[in-house]
Formats: sequence, structure tokens, C-alpha cells
Amino acid sequence: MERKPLILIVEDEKEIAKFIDLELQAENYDTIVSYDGVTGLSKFREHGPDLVVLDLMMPVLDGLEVARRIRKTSNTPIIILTAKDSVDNKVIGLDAGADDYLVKPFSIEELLARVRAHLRRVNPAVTGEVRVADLVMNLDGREVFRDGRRIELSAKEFELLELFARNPGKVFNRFEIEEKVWPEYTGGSNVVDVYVGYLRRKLEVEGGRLIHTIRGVGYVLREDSGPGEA
Amino acid sequence: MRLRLQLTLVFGAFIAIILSAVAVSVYFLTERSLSAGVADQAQSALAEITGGTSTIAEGLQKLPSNSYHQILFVGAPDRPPSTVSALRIGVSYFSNSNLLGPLSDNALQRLLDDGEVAATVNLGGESISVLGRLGTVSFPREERSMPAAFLVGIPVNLMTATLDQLKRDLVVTVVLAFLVFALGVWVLSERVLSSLKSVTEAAGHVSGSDLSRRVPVPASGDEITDLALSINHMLDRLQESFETQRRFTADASHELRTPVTAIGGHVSYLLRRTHPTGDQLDSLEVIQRESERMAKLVNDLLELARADAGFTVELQPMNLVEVVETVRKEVAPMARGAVIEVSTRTPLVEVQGDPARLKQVVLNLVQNAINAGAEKVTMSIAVERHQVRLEVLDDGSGIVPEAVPHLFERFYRVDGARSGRGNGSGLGLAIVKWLVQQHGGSVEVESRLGEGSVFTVLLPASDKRTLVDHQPGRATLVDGLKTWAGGSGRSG
Repeated sequence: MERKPLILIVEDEKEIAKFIDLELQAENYDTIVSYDGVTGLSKFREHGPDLVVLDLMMPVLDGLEVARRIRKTSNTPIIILTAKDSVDNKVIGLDAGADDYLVKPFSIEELLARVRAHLRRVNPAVTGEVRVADLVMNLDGREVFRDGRRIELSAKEFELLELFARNPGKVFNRFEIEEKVWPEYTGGSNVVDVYVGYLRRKLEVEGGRLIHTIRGVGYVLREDSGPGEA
Repeated sequence: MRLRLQLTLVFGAFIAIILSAVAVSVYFLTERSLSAGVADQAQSALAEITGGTSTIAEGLQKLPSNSYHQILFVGAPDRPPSTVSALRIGVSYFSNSNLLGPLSDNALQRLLDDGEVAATVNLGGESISVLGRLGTVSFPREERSMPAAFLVGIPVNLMTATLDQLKRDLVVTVVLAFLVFALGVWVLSERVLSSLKSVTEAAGHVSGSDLSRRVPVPASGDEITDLALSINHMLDRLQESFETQRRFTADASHELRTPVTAIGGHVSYLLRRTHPTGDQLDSLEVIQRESERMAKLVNDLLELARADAGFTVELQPMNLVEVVETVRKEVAPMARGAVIEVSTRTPLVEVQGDPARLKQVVLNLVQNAINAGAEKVTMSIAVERHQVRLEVLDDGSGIVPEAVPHLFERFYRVDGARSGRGNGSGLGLAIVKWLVQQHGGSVEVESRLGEGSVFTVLLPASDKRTLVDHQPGRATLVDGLKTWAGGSGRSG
């Protein structure tokens, strides 16, 4: 019989830890709760959970430091919770090794969806998932990861990437793309080129090129075949 | 009136009055002393010829060369004249000119009454000061004396000319002095006021969103330095209290996030994971709704605290059409039966923006419309020359005209309107305004009571190239060809 996924909750606010715990148990996960960073870290080492939900602002050892120490030895997904939502804080959190980021007050459905997505990512046997190189698309959860990092896409960006990812190596011309992703409009814009630009900006900041231009034809999604690509 | 002009006029008028007074007195003093000189000359000449110290011929020789004289016998011996006509028929004894003729009857009467007269007459175009005296000419050999009129005339043309010249000189001097002085005041006041002006300008640049600026303090050490220093001191304290208030809002909101999250999380757990009775369900839903509202309020307050802190949004090229479509999809299920429509010609209108923030703008406007009781909300996007026009049109209750100017103020509520207008926090439209301004745009509203409202957001166009591509008609042709070429290339 398959083992239930084990989730470690590190959160100094007991009332918040409590309902996250209740919800995760109701979703049929095993949980461990700790109320500070030091205990959290030792419980992580002791139990080796499948996923960590980590509060950022905690006394003694804060969430950033806990994330950094976990990352030294493990690839376990970390979802950070925080009351601060400025861009800087997000960047710092993600740089410390967190895989995802939720700002309080968050909806519990959102957290549960992220937990599911990250657990699926570490467990490749789950269906509804497309992988090309280090790109992982979770079609049910409508989530995209590149190299383990969750990437936020708009609805149309996701649809466009999904079209490519379901047909890796297939070259699409602009007309086909427009018909599939923007069926309600009848051409007459460079929307495809612009959206390929948006996707590249988000997906290819780190890591190689994924969406390649085939001059005079269209676009194709495939693993970077090295230099010499247009 | 500007201070500079006032100073110049006041000081100019003052100096003009003083100079004029001086000039007038100089003129009259000069005139008096000149006239006195002429009178003295005539008196001494008369004294010479009537004094009896010398003969008349000798006395006459002592008169100035340019002077005139006339000695007439008037009346019979030892019988002085008694009427003006007696004087007029007098016989000239010694004379080099007729001085009696031009004298008026009045003057002659005075001569009869007082025995002496002074008058100015015009003789052949020359102005002459005439001094006359009645007396007698003695003839010692005949032992009798004849009553006589002695008249001496001294030309005063020279004096009049001198006085005229003086008058002209004085007028020119006064006018010149006035001009020079006024110019001096004008220039000097500019120098003094320019530092005041720079202080004023700098103070004008200090705004609510940027209290960190300070007024330049001139090194002159005068009253303007004091002014600049006290303005800066005032700004320090203003910034301090503003900063305190902002930090308080931010801190309070942060602190509220944790309990709000806990309440929302627990109520959500109870609602979804347990089986509450009907009454409990109602109660739990109230808690959930209110905690959501509180969460919204906390987020809005933080957003505005960020606005006050001068936080700027990060702009990147993005598609406004998708933002609007996303809002429509999200709002439609919660729209209380209202129809939400999107009207655009093209799937792509690029602007420089932060997608999440612009989504909040559109969301707030649409929720505002739904809360105003709209049955149909239309979002439209149009590309204009240098800007993108996003309109949110509703057929809701409309806004009373008095409320329109205050609509974008924080916590402003339209009197009599339901309290839930806006996004429920009373901050929705204030946030809309701030976010739109952060994107370099503007937002305005037009409304008719009972008919509905239009909120118009104007954003600067992303760049010209994108805009040209989206001009209706032309874009269709260009892109149509492009797609066609792409398609045929692939099939061939």
C-alpha cells in the first residue's frame, strides 16, 4: 500500500498552523507541525517530509534561513507563507531556495492546489503532466515549472505554451496558433509574436531557449539544440 | 500686483515728489534773486540821477549801457501833476526811448499816488523792467524847479531766458533721476526677490507624494534664509508625521494579516470539512464574508501605504485585452446576474504595465459597477494616437454630481448609496487612481443619475510600432499577408 505524503508545517502562529494542519489531514496527507525554525529544521532531518510549508517571519531562526539550510541537503519542495508581499521579499524567498510563495491572507484552496502541484512534480508518475526538457506543465492545476521553479503565466500564455508542449517538435505557423489560442478574433494582429515574446521572457530568463523561431514558417517547442539557432 | 512692480512704483513716486518739490523751490528762489538784482540795479541808477549829487547827464552815464531812460517834465513849475493824463502829456527832457508810453494807466496812477512804481513792459518785443519815480529837476540859475518823472528801464530778456533754461534743465533732471532711481529699485528688488522666488518655486515642487524635497537655503543670511529654514523645518515635521502615519498603517495592516488569515482559514475549514446545520451555515458564511472583506481592506490599506511611501510599480510590455478578458471570466460567476461584456477589435493591445496591478484596476471598476446595481457592464478598449482608452460602462444607479469630484478619495462614500459600493473597503477607487497614475495614465468618470456611469482609464501607448500594427484595416492587411505567407510556406 502506498505511503501517504508527509508534509512538515513550520509556522509560529498556532492558529494558522492549526487550520493548515486540519485541511492537509482532511486531504489525506500526514502532517508534522512545529512552531519555530529550529524545531522545524530538526523535524525535517528526523522525518524527511515530502513537502514543507514554511512561514517566513519566525523568531530565532526565520523562514529564509530554514529554507537555505534545507536546500543544502535536499530538493524537497518548499512553499513559503508570508505577510509581506513586496517584490523584493518574493525574490529573496525564491533565491533562498523556496519553490513557491503565498501571501497572507491566502485562500486555503490555493495552498492545497500548490501542495498538490509540487507533490506531483516530485512524483512523475502522475498523469495530466507534460514534460519537455526541464519544463514541467501540470495541465490540471494549470501550473508551469521550469527547473523546479514555479512560473506564473497568464491564461493565454498558458494556452499557447500548452499547445507547444503537447506537440513538442511540431512547427506551428502563426495562423494555426491564432486559430487555436485566439479563436474569437479573426486575425489582423501580431498577437502570436508578442505572446511568444512574453513566454520567452518568463521561461528563458535562466536556462536555454525553449521556443524556437523557424524563419518564414513559425515556432516550435523543443530542447535547446545548441548554438546556431535563430 | 507683483511685489517688484509695487516696490518700483512706490519708491519711484516718492522720489519723483521729492525731486519735484526741490526743483520748484530752486526755480522760484532763482527767479526771486534775479528779479531782486534787476530791481537793485534800477534803484541805484535812479538814486544817481535824482539824488542831486551830480548832474543828470553824469548820473545817466553811470547807468548800464543796455539800459533805457526817460526823464519827462510833467506839469508846471512847482505844481506836481495830479492826473494820469497830465503825466501822459509830459515833455521828454532826457530820453533814449519812450518808456512812459507802454506803461498802463494803473501803473501811472500808482506813480501819482506813491511817487514810485515798478512794472514790466514790452517795448519793441523786448521785455523791460521799468522803475519810475516822481521828483523835480532844479534849475539853479533860474532858481526854479520843474516837476519831473524819472523812468529807468532794464531789459529782463536775459533773465527770462535764464529762467526758461533753468526750468527745462530742472524738468530733465527730475525725469532722468526718476528713471534711474526706478531702474535701480527694479534691478535691486529683482536681486532680493530672486532668492525668494527660488524658495517659492522649490516649495511648490514639494507635494504630498514627495515630501523628501527641501527648499534651497540662500547663504545671504537675511530674512529669506530664515524663511527657507523655517519652511524646511516645517517640511521635516510634516514628513515625519506623514511617515509615522504611513508606517502605522503598514504595520497595522501587516499585523492584521495573521489574524485575518487564521479566521478565514478556520471558517473555510468548518464550511468545507464539517457539516454545519442550516443556522450554523448562515452564521459561518457571515464570518467568512466579513473576514474576506477585512482581508480586502487590509490589502487595500497596504496598497495605499505603499503608494504613500512612493512605491512604484514595475512596468513591462503586456496585453491589456487579456487582462480585461481575465476579469470578465473571474467576475462573471459572481456578477449577481449582471452581463459582463468585452468589446475590442483585436486580441492584442500592448501597454507598459504591471498585469496584476492593471487587473486590480479593471476588477475594482467592474465590481464598482456591479455594486452600483448594473445589469450590464461593458469593458471596451480603443487605441488612440498616443494612448489606450479603457472604458468601463455600466447601466447602474449613477453617481450624484456632487459626489463625482470626491469619488477617488479614500473612504469616500456617496451619501445614501449602499455602503458596499466600490470593492467594499471604500478604498477601491483611490487605489484605481493611484495605480493608473503609476502607469503614467489618468482616470475619469462621467455619470448620469439613474442611467449609469462610464469610468475611463487612459494609459500611454506602449510604443508606436505596436500601435501602427493595430490600426484597424492596415493591420489586417499586413498580418493577413504575413499569415498567408507563413501558411503557404508550411504546406509547400
